[in-house]
Amino acid sequence: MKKLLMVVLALSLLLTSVAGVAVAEDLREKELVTLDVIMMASAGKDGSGDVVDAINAYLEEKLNIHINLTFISYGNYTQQTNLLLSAGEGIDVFPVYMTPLTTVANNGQILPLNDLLAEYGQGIVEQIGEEFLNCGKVEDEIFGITTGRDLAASYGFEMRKDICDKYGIDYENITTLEQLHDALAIVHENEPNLVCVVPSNGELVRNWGWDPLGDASTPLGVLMDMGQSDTVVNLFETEFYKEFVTTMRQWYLEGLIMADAVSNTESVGTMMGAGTAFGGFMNLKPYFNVQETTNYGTEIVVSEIVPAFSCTSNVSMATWAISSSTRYPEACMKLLNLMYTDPVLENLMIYGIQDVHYVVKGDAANGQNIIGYPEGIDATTTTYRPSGGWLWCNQFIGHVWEGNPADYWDVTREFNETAIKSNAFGFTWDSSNVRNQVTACTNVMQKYHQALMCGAVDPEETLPKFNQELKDAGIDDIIADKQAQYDEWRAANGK
Amino acid sequence: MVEKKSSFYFFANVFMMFLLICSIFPFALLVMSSLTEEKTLIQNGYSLFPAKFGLDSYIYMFKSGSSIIRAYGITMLVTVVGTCSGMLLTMLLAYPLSRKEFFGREILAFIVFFTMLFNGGLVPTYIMYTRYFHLRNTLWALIIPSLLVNAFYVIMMRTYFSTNIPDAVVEAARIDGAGEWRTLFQIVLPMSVPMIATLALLIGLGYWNDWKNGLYYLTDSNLFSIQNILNRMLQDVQFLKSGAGGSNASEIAATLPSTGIKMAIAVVGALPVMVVYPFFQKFFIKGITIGAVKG
Repeated sequence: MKKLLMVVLALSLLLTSVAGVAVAEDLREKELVTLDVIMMASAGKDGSGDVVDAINAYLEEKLNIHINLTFISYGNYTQQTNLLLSAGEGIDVFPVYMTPLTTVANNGQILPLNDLLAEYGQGIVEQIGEEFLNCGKVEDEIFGITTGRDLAASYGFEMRKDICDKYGIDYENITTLEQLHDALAIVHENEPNLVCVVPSNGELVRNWGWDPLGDASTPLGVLMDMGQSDTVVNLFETEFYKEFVTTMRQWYLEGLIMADAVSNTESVGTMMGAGTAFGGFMNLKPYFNVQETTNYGTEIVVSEIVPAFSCTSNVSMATWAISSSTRYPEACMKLLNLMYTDPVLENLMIYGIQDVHYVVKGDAANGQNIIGYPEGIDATTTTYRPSGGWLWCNQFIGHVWEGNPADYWDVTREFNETAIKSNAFGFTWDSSNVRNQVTACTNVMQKYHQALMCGAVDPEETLPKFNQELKDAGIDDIIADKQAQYDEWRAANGK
Repeated sequence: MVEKKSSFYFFANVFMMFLLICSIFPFALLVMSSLTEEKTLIQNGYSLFPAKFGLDSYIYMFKSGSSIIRAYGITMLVTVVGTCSGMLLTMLLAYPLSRKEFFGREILAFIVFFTMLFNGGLVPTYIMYTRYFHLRNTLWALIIPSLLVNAFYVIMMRTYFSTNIPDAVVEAARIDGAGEWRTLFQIVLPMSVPMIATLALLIGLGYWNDWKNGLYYLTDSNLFSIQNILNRMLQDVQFLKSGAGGSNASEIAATLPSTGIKMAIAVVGALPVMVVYPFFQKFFIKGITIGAVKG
């Protein structure tokens, strides 16, 4: 308690000295406003009370706002936020994640943000940039503000360094599936008990260079070649897909891919850590190997095969929004603006209180610090730092966790900006015209797609059946609808 | 004749043995995998005879998990309070329904029956409990919604009262000067022990195993019951399986408890029910069959 008091005191001292300069007085609410902020986390941690006290002391000074911070675990997040939104109580500001932004917006559960952004959210516009902000649009209004994280994805293969070194695998120069195949063949021959390719959670690859024009896990009607074409096509009828699944089938028959690929629930990381697997396909980002190495306790390296590209779904999959039941829309936007621009606030939210939940270990390139756990505390015993800094508003302005290079955030920003952009970047497809077809096609897809990608079934036989069922389920309607909406969007945006 | 009979017994026993193994095997596997060393578990998979034992999961659970012990306490509290109050309310509703001279009994019985067929659905129920009764993030949320009084149990109890308690007994009590309360608590209830034990077990099991109320009405994990914690773990794994998280999935995966810990919690969650059940079993069978015979 004494410790807490001191921290709060120290903080408020610090704040009073900063606040006088930084904040224009008119931004503060006239009366103290309390907002409910919902966030996703692995589990509630005991220390969050202290952190919220510190946050509130800071926010009161700046905006005259207090927050109630509620953490909801991943698995329960969709259901519980939906209930909160339906009841219209206990939720003001929250990240939309797992539920498509268009669904929440079309249900009228969140507020359109254009005017609020113009008035109180200029800091957000500056931090995130118009281009990425526009990905949170539903029709002409911005509904969700993307978080600052990796907004593009490259795809490739992650694997254990010890095995690579043992057999002289030159992982840095693997850039094609053929090269990867040769490497895997060597491993398989010498380590017959090692699983070469583990599909992570039943899925071999999420994406291999197409723009899904909507939810990334249901590529019904896509733009091929990293979205560099303007014709919406049926992915499952393309030569590209056929070739890919045929290759995977061959790998599977050679014993390179895990035999019970479709039903495996162990993640590739866990299996690599336990020494039973060599590697798996992954969605990559800068310094992904560092993240994996820390998480699984064995050194991990990656080979990039599909270069980084970015489509709307990479950006709009996690966005912050304001509940339409809120009584204080302006206060919500002011709070969001501060969350996107104020390092002190963002560090408190992501990492907790300095010298309690983390200690400074060095300097980071963005003017913040490199931090790590205090002595005697680790990921399992910490009382704060719920995982998922990437789902907080803007980790780019905050500290860098130790193990990552000092310029981590700058490199990630650059990664976002230099990634190949799909032609449909910024276009959000509204599925409401063909909702039934989407449900039917998704069901068909679940039956075949994963199994084909893992090579567990013979494409010669299964692929025609798969495509016939998709046709019967109405995939052509979806493609036509997507094309029409896309053409309209192109005309409107002069592309 | 004797031979025939013994061969019948032989096959019957074999068959029963088979059923027994079928039901015990998964549980034995659960217990053994919770006792297996974590690394062995991932390398060799589940096994009844693990290569290497380890108590790590249990040690971890009781060392790091003040939340698990608290959840255990909450489950017990909720089960005891819920079962007692649920039993009392069920009884107080079922008894008047069983008395022929009760005015408006048909209408009341219909209303009770009606709730078995129709209900408002999740969202309206949720809105009612959170907005008007303010149950969100209170312990009441684990006790009241959907579990407190179950229409089916009320009807079961009413049937028991009206078929097993002769009118003459109630009448005799009346003549001897007993009021309604005394009749119920001193005459009728002692004659209904098997039914009460059966319902108490069913209601208690309902509370013990419930995770839905926690999922809907609780966001404060300090109030979670043991089943909520288990369910949350399963849901989190499911979440990763659904492919969410993208490049950040591994960060999430690293925060989830390992397989061994999940198993250990499942064992700890199931244990008390197994301990209590044998004591109730005698009544349980009686309570269920009595209704059937007298129809």
